[in-house]
Amino acid sequence: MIKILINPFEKYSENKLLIVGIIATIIGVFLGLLFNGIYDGVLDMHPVKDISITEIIYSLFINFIIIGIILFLLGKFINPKTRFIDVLSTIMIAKIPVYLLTITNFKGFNYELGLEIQNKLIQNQMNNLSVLLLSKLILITILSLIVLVWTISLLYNGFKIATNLKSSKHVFLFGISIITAEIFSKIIISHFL
Amino acid sequence: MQPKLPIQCPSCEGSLSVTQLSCTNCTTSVSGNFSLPILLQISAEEQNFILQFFLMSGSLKEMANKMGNSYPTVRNKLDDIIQKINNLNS
Repeated sequence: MIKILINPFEKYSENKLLIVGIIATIIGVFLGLLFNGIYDGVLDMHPVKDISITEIIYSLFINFIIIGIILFLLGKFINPKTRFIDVLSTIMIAKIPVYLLTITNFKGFNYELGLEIQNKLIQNQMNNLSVLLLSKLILITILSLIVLVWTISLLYNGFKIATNLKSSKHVFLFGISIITAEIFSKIIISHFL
Repeated sequence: MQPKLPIQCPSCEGSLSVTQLSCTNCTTSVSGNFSLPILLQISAEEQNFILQFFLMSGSLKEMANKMGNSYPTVRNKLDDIIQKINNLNS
């Protein structure tokens, strides 16, 4: 069961993965709308006060285009037999944990926590956090870290299977590509939204 | 239980070669130094994979369906075996 959550790419066909990816993306859009979360990066989501469905779809579209192109080009460099459908299913499946993270913004929980922390920083009171505030912060941090590790694991495992990745040099390039895609996503999405 | 043909020396991990062949019908023995064919120098699992690939008329898609693995997983396995055989040839 754990293997399916971390590496479904070994067993399942690209068609099945793509269908699951598409369904997950649709659910992700609605989760983003329901819990006011925007997917402005490849690896993360940010809670906001309010968001429209157009903004969510746009941010996801930009995400997929950027990470898809970067990973596909890297994939072709590593292994000319890399197929785009395998890269696409990887990035769609890897986004699933991020969609789940939107639930932390239930009734604006995560967004308001961010505002409280921001206020404490501005007032230079970061060493004077209440137990409740600290507990909320720790909870969100732990959940965010779990999602981050899970997303990166899925991306890596999917990309490894799609390209038959072996050398540490290529793993390093994969890491650089993810960071590059994250930076480009943030810049483009924040510029147009 | 079917005994496995050893291909690697258990002492120094070098490649094994055939030095004697016998006829089970008339007990004639032939001695010499014959290197194992390339296909016998890979593991039993890899030999089985190649045989299945041949029996599936070279269709990786059908192999993926039969093995219960994804297409890229099967393709990667094939590429790894090709690399291994190329290394043995060189």
